[in-house]
Amino acid sequence: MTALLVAGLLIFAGLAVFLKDMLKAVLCLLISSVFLGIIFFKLNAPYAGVFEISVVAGLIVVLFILTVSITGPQDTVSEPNVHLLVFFVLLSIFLYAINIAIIKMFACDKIPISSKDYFSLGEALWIGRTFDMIGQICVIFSGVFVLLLILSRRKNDK
Amino acid sequence: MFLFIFIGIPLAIAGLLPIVSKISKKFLPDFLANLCFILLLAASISIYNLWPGAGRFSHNLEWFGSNLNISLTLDGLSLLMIFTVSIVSLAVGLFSINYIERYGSRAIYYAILLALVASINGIILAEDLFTMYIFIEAAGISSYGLVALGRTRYSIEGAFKYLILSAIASALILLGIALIFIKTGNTGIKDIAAASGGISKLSVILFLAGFGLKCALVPFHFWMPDAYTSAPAVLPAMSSGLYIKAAGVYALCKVFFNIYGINSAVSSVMMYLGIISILIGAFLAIGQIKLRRMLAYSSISQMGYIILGLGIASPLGIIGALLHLFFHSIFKSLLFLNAGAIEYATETDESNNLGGLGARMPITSTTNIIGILSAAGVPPLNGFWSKLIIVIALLQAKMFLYAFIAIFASVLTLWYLLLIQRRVFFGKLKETFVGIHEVPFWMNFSMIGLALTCVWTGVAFAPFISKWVLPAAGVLIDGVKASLNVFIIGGHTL
Amino acid sequence: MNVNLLIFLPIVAPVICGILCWLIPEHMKKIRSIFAVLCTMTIGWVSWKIFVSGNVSFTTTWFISTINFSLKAGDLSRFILLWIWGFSFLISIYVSSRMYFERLREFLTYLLITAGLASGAVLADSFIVLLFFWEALLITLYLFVALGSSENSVRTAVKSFVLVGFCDFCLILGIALYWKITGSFDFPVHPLCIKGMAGLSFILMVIGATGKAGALPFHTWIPDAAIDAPVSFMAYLPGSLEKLLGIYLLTRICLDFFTITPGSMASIGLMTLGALTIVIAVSMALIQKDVKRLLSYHAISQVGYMIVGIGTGIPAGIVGGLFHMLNNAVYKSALFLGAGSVELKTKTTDLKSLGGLYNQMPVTGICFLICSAAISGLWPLNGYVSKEMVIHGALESGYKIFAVASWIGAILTFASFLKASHSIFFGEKKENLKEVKDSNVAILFPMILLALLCIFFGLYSKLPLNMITGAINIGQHHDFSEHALNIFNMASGITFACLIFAFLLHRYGWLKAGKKAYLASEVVHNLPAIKTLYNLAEKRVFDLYVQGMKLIGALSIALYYGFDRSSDWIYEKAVVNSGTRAISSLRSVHRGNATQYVTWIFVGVVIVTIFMLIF
Repeated sequence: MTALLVAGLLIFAGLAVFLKDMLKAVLCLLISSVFLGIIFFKLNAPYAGVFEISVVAGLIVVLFILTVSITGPQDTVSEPNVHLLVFFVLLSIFLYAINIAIIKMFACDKIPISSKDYFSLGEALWIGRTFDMIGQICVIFSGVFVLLLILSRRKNDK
Repeated sequence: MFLFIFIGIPLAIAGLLPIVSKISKKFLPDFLANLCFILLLAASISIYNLWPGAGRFSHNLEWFGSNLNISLTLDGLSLLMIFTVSIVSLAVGLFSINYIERYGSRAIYYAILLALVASINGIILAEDLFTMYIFIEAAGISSYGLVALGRTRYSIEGAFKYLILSAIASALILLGIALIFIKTGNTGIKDIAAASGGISKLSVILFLAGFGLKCALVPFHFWMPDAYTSAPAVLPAMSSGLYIKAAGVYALCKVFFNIYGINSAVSSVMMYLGIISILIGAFLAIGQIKLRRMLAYSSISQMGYIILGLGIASPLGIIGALLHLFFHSIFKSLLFLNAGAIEYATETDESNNLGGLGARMPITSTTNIIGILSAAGVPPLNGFWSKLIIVIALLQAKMFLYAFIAIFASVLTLWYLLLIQRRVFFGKLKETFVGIHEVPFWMNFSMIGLALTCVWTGVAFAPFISKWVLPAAGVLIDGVKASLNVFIIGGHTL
Repeated sequence: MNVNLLIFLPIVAPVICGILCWLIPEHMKKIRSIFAVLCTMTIGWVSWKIFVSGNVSFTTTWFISTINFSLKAGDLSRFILLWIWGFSFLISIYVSSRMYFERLREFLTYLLITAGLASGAVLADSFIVLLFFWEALLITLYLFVALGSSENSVRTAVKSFVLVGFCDFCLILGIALYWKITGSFDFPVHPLCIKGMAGLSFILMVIGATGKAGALPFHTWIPDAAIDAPVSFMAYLPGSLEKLLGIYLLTRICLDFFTITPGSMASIGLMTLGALTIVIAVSMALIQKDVKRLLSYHAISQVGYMIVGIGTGIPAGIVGGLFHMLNNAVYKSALFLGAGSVELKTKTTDLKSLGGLYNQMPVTGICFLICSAAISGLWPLNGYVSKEMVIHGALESGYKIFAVASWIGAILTFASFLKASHSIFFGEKKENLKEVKDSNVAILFPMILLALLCIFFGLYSKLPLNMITGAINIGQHHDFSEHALNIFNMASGITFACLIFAFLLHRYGWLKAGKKAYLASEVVHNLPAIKTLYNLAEKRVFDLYVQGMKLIGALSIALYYGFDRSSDWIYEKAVVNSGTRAISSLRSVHRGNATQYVTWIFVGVVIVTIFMLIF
């Protein structure tokens, strides 16, 4: 299951980088971050998962879509294929290293997570982590203001 | 409660501003935002006076007696950072009063700026890695907004690129945090540091790359020149002055000095990254025509000094690095604001179109040369002392090649910056610019303030070190001493 | 008020006042002058307070905790401080009255700052503090000389800066060596013996001190400055202040930093330096035909007496040397001021075009004559007393040759001053000078005061001598004033013989030149071998600076073609070309292509990973 999730994450992340059509790339990014969020939950990191889905998958993707739709279809930048090749080679080396690390880590017999640390989504958001909410507010504020800014200029431009 | 105002007040005012702008489009946003910055500066100074001198200062937030579970922590290092943030953000805020006229809605601009300041303060005061990560993201999003503030489609493109590369950094950092969380079951900085057992080497790599991206170290620096070139001058001033320091250097310090304890491998990677950044940044800055692009490369080079100083991991090196961190914030924001002033007056950013502005814009010219001399490390301005301390620390550690490169790069810095000064301010005035004037009052005011700070901290560097930097360095030096053995080399942790 | 803080006043206050002086606008000239005079007067009063209140000291840590910023008004320091401010006061009165002087604003500013720095130098109680003020004085010296209105002023200013700067550099080296020996920058409690490394340190420090005072061979800027710089500057710096400072330091070196035993190498070396300075400089002075140049050579020559006196290492000599320093400052500044007064009225200082001014400028004349008599060592003026003491010291040390040098100096000094006074104030009246009147009170007042001091210090030498013997540590208490004016001994007999010989020499030369006083010294000038030497000297063959500059010029040409051009070629070919390539290849990576950026970032991550894995 985890392997599937990781594979999905990788595929969509790769697509996000290399797709020429910006809008599709952004959608791929959205999917890949959802995958990542699920992986976080599976790895017993609910905070990270909540945040990944709420901020990255939600807000940033909205930002992306807006940006892309404002800038519109531009002349595409021609990219030499050698970068693509190098990128994939390096990425696979990197992923291999991570994979080994994760496998080794799970192979460790003691993972010090007590039962207390399993939270539901709501608990993960609220209990003991109020300060993160301030951070979330910051993120949401910033995002909203940026949207307002871009939208207002779009109005002006028209 | 007192510590919380650094996050709460800017955030509250940020939320208020769009509503306020319905009543007054100009005056109230200016007034409220700058009032907030002044308040924060006053608060940071008064906290310094309340400060017991050493150690941590944790704070649990309560609301009418019930615990809110918000705990902030302040030590010498965070105090220095808070102080830096307060000074630079006040300067940028005052600068914007006149500058922002050409960039659309004032209220929303200030709201983004305040949100950025609140987020940066959040990074500094957080005592939990994950919280820190959230604030890094928040500050990142505000920065994208400021990049996108520019009018051209290049600025949107720059913002987009910035977003992509920042997303990679965030992913790396988040992965690192996740690995730590798996290992220790916790994300609080103190708890992780206290947890026994090895910490994954992989997470070290992830953090180095992630924070390296935030710090814009070579080869993770690519976002910076593009983003700074396309954005209005306030973004580079805020970002180079504050954001990359809080999200990059400060977080790096917290992770490597207070959690892991620095070991020779990390130390040498940091030094390599530092020295490569110093050199490549300086070389790339040579011959850049666009002012802000050149200053961006210069920032990369100067960040290299900070990381190099931290990488030495000797008390003197850390002091030098933190000193340079503060001084670089001041003079680099000054230089970026100057670049903004030039662009404001002439509507161009390309230095080879300019020339002879010195007679027309005497204040900008003077403050710019102060900034340049500070950046290049000419005594008695502030940059000299911090670079000197870093070089001495390098010599002390018998790293003569590094010391040589550091000095050599500072000569390069002087060269390319003076070249810019000559091209822009000296020589013959181009006919197209005969009609230009010195920039309006508040822009001058904030530039002069920063220039005076450069001179003042340079002349009175000794008391500044003993009062502000030593307590900050103490936090990290303790980290060097205490946790040298926490880090497990080899073994089952990869 | 805390008396220990009082010590800061003579250092800090003048600098502030100087800046204020500079800020006072041009149309408030008079207020500025009055302000400057009041400043010097007030601080002069403060320095008197310090003088009477005894040892005042102040110590605090400087930037670096190991080096102390310590000031101490020791006995000698207080004494010198008092005189520094005395002269500053008189000179400020003098210049204030000279309204034609265009750059008075700068002059007053520099004067106040110089006085402040000089006070700092004499009050310093550690080498670092001393050096700090000493070096700062170099800058005001440069500024002062550059104030002159002649076209060579700036060149002369550079010359003075280089020469005095070289001496200061020697002083720094000497102090560095001293620090190496003792390990401390504080003034030592016990003086060092002069041997080995300490000897080198002694020589370097002496070069620093005597070079400041204007001794050979670093004197050559003074005659040039006499022509190119304002004459009130000559009266102030080379005339009085630099002597005070240089000889003060020399005394400290010989008494407090090192021990000089009479008859030792150090003592003989110092006396030789002094004797050479006396004879060579006074010979040059003799043939000068411009009164300012003549005076400037005497300013050098008189230093020789002080160095001989201090170099004897014998109480009589040391006290005599210090007394001579004081006397010289008094009459030499008065002489310069007199020359300035003449120049102001006649617009020339060339002896040839002056003459018969005594009736028109009686006060200037009398003062000039008194001071000429004093510098020539006529009984019973102050110059006589101090010169006799120096000669006694030299005789007592057993090296009579130095006494002989002093006598030669006395002959030539008197002869040259006979020539100068004769040419200016007596003899044939020039047509164009008929209308000349004496100067105003503000110019005359300092001169009168100084001339009176000459007489007073001669007749009542007890007061200054007691001040000096109280100020230095020379073993048991001596009273020199008893025999000060005693003329019935061999030494004074010879002195009188010398003076008579000088008078005869002048008369012979005067008659031979057809009663033209300004040619009176041509007799000596035209002596066979000496004439060649003089011609060479006038061509500046012996000027270290000119020769040094020639050498440097030749070296720089050699280096230019031998090293610079060739390395430039290498630089052009190797560094620039490869640098440009490297930078352009670096730049080609930054083309704004996001995928490329991401690729590079992953390259970085992989490299870091590999590094961490290997480590």
